Amino acid sequence: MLDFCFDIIDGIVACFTRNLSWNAVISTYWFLFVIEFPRYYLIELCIAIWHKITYRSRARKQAVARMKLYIENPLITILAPGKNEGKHIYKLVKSLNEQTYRNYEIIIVDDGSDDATPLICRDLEKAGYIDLYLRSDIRGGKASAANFGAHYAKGKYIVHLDADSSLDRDAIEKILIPFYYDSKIKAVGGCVKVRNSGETLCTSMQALEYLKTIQVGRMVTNKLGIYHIISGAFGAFEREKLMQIGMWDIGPGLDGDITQKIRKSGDKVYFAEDAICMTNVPTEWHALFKQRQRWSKSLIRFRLRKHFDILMPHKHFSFLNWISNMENLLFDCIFNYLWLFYIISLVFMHTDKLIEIFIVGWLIRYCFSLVAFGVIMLVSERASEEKRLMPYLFFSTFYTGYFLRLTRLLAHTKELFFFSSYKDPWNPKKTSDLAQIEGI
Amino acid sequence: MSYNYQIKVTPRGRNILIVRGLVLLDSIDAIKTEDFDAIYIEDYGQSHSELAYQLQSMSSISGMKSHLKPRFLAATLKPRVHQLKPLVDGFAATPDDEKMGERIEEICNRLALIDLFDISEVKTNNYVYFLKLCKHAISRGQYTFTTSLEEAYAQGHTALFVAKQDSMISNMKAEFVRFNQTLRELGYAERKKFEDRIHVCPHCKGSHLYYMEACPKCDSSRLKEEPVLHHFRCANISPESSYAYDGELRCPKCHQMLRHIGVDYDRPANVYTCQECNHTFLHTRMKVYCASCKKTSRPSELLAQDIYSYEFTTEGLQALSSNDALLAVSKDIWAGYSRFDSFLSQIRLFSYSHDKNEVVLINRFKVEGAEVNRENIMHFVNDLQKRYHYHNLSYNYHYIFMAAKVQSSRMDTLKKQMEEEYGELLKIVELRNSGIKLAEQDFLYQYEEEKIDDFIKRISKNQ
Repeated sequence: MLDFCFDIIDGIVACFTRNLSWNAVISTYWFLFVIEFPRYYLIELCIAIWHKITYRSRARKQAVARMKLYIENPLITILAPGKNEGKHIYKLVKSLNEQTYRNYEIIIVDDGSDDATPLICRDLEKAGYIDLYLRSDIRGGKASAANFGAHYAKGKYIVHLDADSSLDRDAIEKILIPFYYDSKIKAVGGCVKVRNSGETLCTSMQALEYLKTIQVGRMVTNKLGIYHIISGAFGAFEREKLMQIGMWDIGPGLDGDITQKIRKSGDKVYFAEDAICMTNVPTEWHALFKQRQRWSKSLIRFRLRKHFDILMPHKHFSFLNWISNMENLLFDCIFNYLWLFYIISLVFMHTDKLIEIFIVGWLIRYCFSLVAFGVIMLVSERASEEKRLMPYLFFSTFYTGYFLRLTRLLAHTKELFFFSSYKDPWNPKKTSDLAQIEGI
Repeated sequence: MSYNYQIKVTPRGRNILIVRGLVLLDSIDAIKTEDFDAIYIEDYGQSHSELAYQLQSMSSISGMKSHLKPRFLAATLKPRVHQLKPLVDGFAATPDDEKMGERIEEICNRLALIDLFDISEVKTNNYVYFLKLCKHAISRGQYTFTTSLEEAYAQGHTALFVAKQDSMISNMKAEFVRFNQTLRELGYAERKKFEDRIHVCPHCKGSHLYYMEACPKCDSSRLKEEPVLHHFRCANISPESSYAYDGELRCPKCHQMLRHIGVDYDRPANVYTCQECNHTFLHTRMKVYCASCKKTSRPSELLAQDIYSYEFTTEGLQALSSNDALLAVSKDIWAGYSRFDSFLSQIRLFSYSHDKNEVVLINRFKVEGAEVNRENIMHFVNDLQKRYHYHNLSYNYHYIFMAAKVQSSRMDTLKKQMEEEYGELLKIVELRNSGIKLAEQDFLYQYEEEKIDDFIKRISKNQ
């Protein structure tokens, strides 16, 4: 056994000393260097540095917009649709009570809960903690619940929240500010972070992932003008615009869909990386697997099928929208299949040196993830607290490089060939069936 | 000369007064109390109102000569009786009806055991009236009083005694309740069975309550309820009216037609919208409006009240059959307005029964002015009644009397207090601006060794 380990170490050392030149390394790990590094590390690093450099001008712009917000002080609606979320509502309401922005109404929509949610919500409504409690006796799905609430919203902006999320004290204020940067901005996404990080390895890995793909990733896509998903957990919309685009359509993946609809209508969406919302993520791998399958399917369902027109030349063609969707499709879907091809080819080409190749690959990725972590530390508002996630970088190759990639690959394949998102029990069958017939 | 009444002797030897027209018994000298045992009213085509007047004038309670005597109506009058049924003992086709004869016999036998009041001496005042009710019930063999829902009774249920006997009851609710309490305290009646638990107004204890749905925000009842439609295809969910198009249901979002409930759409909720403040909500808030005191409360604020049925105890039956109960019960019936004759009777009763340390202090006002009429005076008396809950008030010939029971040692204090408050009373009169004035105030009380008859004379001397 020991001999075997020494052989491997010798092999790795050999890789770096004699056997592999830089050219050989790049030709073996071309996928990492040609596809992953430029997109996920280089661009992000450059933009994060730019973000840091432009801090002062951004702060000035934000201060002016903040002043405009408080001068107008519009009524906003905080909308939290959900099923069986009663136990979270009090905590949510309490966290809203702490907000710096005070002019809001709270609408809770109960989508046919079968637990104590109605009792809890009615009590909270009576006690004046929530302004309106709406309940569908028959479950209609997340989209219908959100639409139900939005229909009765009175606020100028609707902030859509997941009932189990909680907000930083200034999150509402921060998510509203971008509306005052530019009148074309009709929707703003908030930054979602993991509240239960550290609970299990699974949640800690997700905490790292959220920081990388949401706080940094979306900040970057936002800067590039190709920001394409406003999280369902925390997003703000101009009510009038929402009405205009017919509010939410059937999910899963309705948050990405509504962002597409707003972009298609010619308006802008914005990502507020400093409007922080915390949410609980799955603690078990199988639950995470299921969640990611659901999320991933929406890429095929919405970007490739429903909003395919964005990719085609037409009267209202927008290059940014084209890039936005193309980037998403390429990096999240097509390159996954390419990656599969790459792995298979590696296996066949270097059958005898697989373990060494794997370990060197991990080492390279680890170096990349150190860069990414540096970027996170540059961007995050609570960098000192998030520093403790650094040891988990060790596992990031396995998590993002293999687990998530394989999950996505499987989901995309299932959706491409079997339309499996329409069979997802996340939505009631009556709505999914019709959505499939209509191709939405 | 034809009479519209006739006295007929039945085979059982009872005299029945047969009435064939509008007869006011108490004003016909020719008929004496002892001349007849029962009354039978024939159908001579009288209307309901005439019948009502006739029955009330010769009621078992308020009529003098007809006091407690059984009364029957011709069977054909039955449809015209309506709510006056409690005033009647039964119906019979002819005065010779066998069943009627039996019933008369039964009642008369019971009456023989009951001491009748000497009607010429004791005028009807509140407590006598209540006792008469008791006697009436006993004479009819009714010892148990099943409380029942009563439209006219403020608390919804009758307490001890049947309230609909006479409209008079509603004017002396408070005393009636106190009378019932006294009966229980004296052990004359006892709770028999739990009947019901009702909820009454927390302000006035009335049970004539309206339950109304209201907006949780502004409390208005001007609400609009509308079902909400969920269109499955596009997840649109909005009120039904937003779907209404040319007699069809068409989705306002995707413009598709809604054809089949459960397949295309469903109705997951009903939403209320307040027409006053535009607030939307799923659950209305209930409010309760009291018809008696016109105040609004929340259902949770209502007071729960247990309703029991009652029964006379043996002791009670004995006391009520004789006149023993009179003094015992009348002690507590004091406050409120009573007619002047009742007022004097109460003073007299008090002097017989009171504790030697207690005296009655009568505060007397002379009323003057251009518009001294009964209506104006009664308004003023009402004001006084609100202010002086524990006084017995009366009015007679330009004089208002306010009698209060007071400890002898505190009499001077009360006198002083009343003198001080006289100024305020003058203001009340002035504010009312009804054309009356208070001319003078004086105080009367029974001196030591003074006979009650002399005191009564003194009270009514200046009349």
